[in-house]
Amino acid sequence: MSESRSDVAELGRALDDILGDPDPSSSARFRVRDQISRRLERSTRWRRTAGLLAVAAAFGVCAIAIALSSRSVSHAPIPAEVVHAGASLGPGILELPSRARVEIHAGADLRLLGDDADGTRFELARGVVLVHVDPRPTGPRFVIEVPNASVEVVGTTFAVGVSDAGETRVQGRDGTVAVVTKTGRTFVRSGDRWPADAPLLVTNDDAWRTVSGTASTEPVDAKPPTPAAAVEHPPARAVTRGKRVLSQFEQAKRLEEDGDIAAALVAYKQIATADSTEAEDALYAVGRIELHRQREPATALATFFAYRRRFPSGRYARAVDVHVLDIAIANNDRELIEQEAARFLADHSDDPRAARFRLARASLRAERGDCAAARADLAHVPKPSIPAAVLQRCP
Amino acid sequence: MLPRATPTRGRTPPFSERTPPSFDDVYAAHFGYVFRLAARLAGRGDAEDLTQEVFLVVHRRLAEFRGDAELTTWLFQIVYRVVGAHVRRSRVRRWLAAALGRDHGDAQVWPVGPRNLERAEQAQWLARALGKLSWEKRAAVILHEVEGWTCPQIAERLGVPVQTVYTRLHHARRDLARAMSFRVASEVTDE
Repeated sequence: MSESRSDVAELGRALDDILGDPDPSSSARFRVRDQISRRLERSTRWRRTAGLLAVAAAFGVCAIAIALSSRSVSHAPIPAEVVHAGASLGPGILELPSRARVEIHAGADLRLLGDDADGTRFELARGVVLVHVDPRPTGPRFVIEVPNASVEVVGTTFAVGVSDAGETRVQGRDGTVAVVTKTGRTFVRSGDRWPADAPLLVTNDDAWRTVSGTASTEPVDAKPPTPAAAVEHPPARAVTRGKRVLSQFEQAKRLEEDGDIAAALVAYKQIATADSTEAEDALYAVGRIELHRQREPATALATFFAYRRRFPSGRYARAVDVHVLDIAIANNDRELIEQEAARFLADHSDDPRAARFRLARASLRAERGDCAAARADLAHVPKPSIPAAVLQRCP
Repeated sequence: MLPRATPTRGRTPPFSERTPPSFDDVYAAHFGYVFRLAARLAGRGDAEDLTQEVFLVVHRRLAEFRGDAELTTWLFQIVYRVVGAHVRRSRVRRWLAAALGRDHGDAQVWPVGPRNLERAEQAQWLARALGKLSWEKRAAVILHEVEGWTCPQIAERLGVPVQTVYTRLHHARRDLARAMSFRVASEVTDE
């Protein structure tokens, strides 16, 4: 069949005619864009959901594996005759006269260095042990030596693990444990781990209950567990995922929140003396604890002056000013009150806290009989907060 | 003549390998081009849905685009694949519907929008014939006869030898002309 030029042209025109206007309407551009955005959003949501499901499934598998592996821990009591200084202890539960229970997992290489009036000392070279120590605030220390660190406890339940590569992990259950290394002292409190991002050593509540003596011990398992099964707990990454690593300051703050003020103060002071970004927060926290918790205004005053010297325009500068004024009023240190009022009002006369300084200064002026000056201060102080004694002297 | 979706160098936005275009830039610059191609190749009725599909592919694969070819060439290849898959799916659906007795089994009837009502019937015949063409032939004839692309341009963008395009075009014209002559013949017979 021949294709003449006129036929081809006719075909083009006819096709053009039937295909119609291909230009999009003005609203089509926005409509299509909107639909694309919605579909992309749906797709992202679906992908996220699928990811979460996958993580949940992985977590489930890990939990089952951990539950199965934890059954392999022997809960048999270790006979007293084998427990002596220098003894290497096998798997089982060790009860010490010093009211401490140590659950030794299979494969752990634990040696008792001593258990006497000076304290209880172990050396853990490899494997996992769970420890419960009854509170002993003033008694002998309980220490587990691990490669490159030692774990000290006053009264708590915790787990210590040393991998084959010599890496140490600590997991706190109750109370607070101090991990002492060459670089310093880190507090591991309930639920925390050291290092902070380390996998959980123990995920089974039954294991904690067993070591703390709140569950009955099982009879000796005739078939000893394999070392690998007991020591190598699957890393519970799904549990730790997304958990923020606490900074040193946050750790100290949590100690304070838990009521362990002494430990918190030690931790805050340690941070404050270091050249850290959290030093300012920590130094202020030290002053605050000394003033409000320990009721030691003189010590707190020294700390607040130290804060001023170190952070002249710090974030807590005005709060420190108020604390110093309060201490000065409590000590009836008139000179310091005058000095602090003049200092604060010179720079921050518009600050809502300025009224406290004005009132303090006005009280001193009224006492001296300088009513004109006192009234000048009182003019900026809300009337209900002015003490009657001041108004009587300078009506 | 209506505006054509012919890609020209002047219309293509500048591309630098160092700064790959963002999806929004590509959408803003080439929405019209993609929509026109989809409307031409699949019909106006499905153009919006197909444009959407094309840009979802673009969104997914834009990071892979390294600027080795013109952006419009890359876009055309996506349009060609997306619309081709749509046309083939439609054909299978129609075939299944016909097999199940739920449809008359005719090829896709092109949505007709003739400006000249006197030519409506002829357009309907041509549309039906166009719907019966294979996807490759249909694309070749539309791109050449309607969009005005040359055979070497089509061959380059499809990644096929230019002779293949000539062959597809020749067969498409022949089939369409045959359909039209059958229409004329049937009109004569009816009379």
